[in-house]
Amino acid sequence: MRMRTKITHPSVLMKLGHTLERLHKQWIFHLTPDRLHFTVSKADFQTGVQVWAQLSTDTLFEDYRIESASDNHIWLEVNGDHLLRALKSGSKSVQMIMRLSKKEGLPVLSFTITNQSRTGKLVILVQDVPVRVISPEKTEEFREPVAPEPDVHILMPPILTLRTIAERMKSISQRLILSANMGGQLTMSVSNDIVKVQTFFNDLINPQLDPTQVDVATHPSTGRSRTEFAEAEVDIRDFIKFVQCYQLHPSKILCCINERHCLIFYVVVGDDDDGDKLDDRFGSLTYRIPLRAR
Amino acid sequence: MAVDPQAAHSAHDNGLLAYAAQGSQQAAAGQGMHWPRGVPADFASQAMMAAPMQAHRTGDEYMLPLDFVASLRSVAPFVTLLRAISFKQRAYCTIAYEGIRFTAEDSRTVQAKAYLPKSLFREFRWSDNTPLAEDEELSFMVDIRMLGECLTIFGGQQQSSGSAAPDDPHGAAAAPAPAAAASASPVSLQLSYPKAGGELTLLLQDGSVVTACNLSTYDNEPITDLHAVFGDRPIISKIIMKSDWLKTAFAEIDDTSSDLTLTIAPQHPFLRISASGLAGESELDYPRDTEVLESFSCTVPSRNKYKFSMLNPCLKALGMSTKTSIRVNEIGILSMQFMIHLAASQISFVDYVVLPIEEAN
Repeated sequence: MRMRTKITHPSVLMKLGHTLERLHKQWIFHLTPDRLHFTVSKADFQTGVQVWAQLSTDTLFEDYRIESASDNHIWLEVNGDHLLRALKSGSKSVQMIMRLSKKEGLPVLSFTITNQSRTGKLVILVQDVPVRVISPEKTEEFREPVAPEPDVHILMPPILTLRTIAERMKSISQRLILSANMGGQLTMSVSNDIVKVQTFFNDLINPQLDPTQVDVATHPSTGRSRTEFAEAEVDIRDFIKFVQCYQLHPSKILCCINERHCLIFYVVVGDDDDGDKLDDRFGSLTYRIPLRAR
Repeated sequence: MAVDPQAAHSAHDNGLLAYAAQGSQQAAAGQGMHWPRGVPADFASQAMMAAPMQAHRTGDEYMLPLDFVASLRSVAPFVTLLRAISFKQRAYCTIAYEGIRFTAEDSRTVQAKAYLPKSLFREFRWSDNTPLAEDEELSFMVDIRMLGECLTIFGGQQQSSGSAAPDDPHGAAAAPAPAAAASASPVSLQLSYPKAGGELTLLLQDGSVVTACNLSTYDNEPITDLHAVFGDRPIISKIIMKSDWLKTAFAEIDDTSSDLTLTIAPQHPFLRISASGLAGESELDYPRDTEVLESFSCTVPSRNKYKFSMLNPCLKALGMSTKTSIRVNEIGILSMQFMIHLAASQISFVDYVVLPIEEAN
């Protein structure tokens, strides 16, 4: 099992780290020849927010080499704080190299960071982050489950607007009701004994389904009346965890409401195309927020 | 007058027809939610939808309930003024011919009033388009913290004035903040309240995004109007000064002090603020210089003590203000009026009245 690469964009990894930090401290790293997958290690995703992120290795790495007995895939568990600290040391570096190695018999992600001092001298810093290698047969629980077919799917309004509103709504109630229809409308609503607050968004886009991926004719959102809302009640703190992805400057966020199972946000980064197609070549994050009973 | 009940009933049906149609559309739009049609549409129709739709019977006629309606181009001045008096959870709100007034009070010792003059509003009327008569008044109690949360749902632009002002009496950033808020695209507000009492409805609009808030109100509890009590006795001293000078004094005073003494006299020391706390005593004298005291008049020297905790509520308003008027009456009641610059060269005032500590001698 070998892995060595130059990290060209430590800041992107760092932002991703800050986004995940709120969810859990232990992260699962899944490296493949063309993708870097991240998830947080939490056994039961019914009780909390789960996230799966994937970034293209081309945008993050250079001179990337990976080899392993299991189809060149490597699964690692790492402490988020430790990893973030290493990435922070490398945020202004001239060069940052990450490799999987062993120190005193224990596996580590070893970061060799070259910084330039004010006088122009190169300072080399080595930071080792202990990791646990996950054997291929134990990776099943960390794989992204198949998302249930949404009743309604809609592109979200700008994330910064959502963030401000969600922060205010948090002081009103712990429960947020998010509802949307196939007619471009989305509502966020909270209430307590004395006040009811509802924010209405109009003219949003309901992207077309990709016929190569799903059977459009039988999809629940196809036969639905445009004005009929699907509703999801979630813990507002869970929603705020999702909103943290603003740090990655997402270009598009697709919201999928499944009234029986969960609320899914599909966050696309690095896709500047204005169309309603979602291009996740650069990277994406999937947030799965459990529903709360009323 | 005898009215055929059948005819009255059908008139009732006709009158409500328009609203019934709206209601069904609304139900179709989404599981009992109020969905404003065609946002950004005319606010008035939305306000009607959000308000309870009942017909009241007055005398022999059925009439639609009348609402008070007011709208603001920018919610920022409202937020600023509310913040100035938000030292208690609840406040009294009075809607009258002159404008909207909020009164907050604590321990029957300090009372604050903030005014939103009618001139600030784009609309200020009854829902049937008639203006408020001079003797018409609506009053109720409202949770001003919740109201504040609602008004700042779109966040951002209102935040600036508050961050510098509340706890820091220097409040250097307080004055330019509302001006900065005015330059950003403002969040507009439409407010409505049923004449018969009920929920306060707010519709805030930021671009094409609309937020509707329905806020419960409480019945007014009778309170003594301390401002009237102050006016009952002759005023013995009046001072107008730049708020900065007063902010300096409050910054200087040890916050462990339990009370503060205000001495005003026609000759030296003119105006003296003194307090003593755990860290020691402080005493500030202001010279009778027009640079400092823009206007000074004192007929009888006075020396009064006030509870520091009762002066604390004023600090937010002081921090936001540019000028302060201080008045003391014969029995030592202190009145402070803070001039606050709102957005777009609008000025408003926040009035405080504080009762003195009775000296046991």
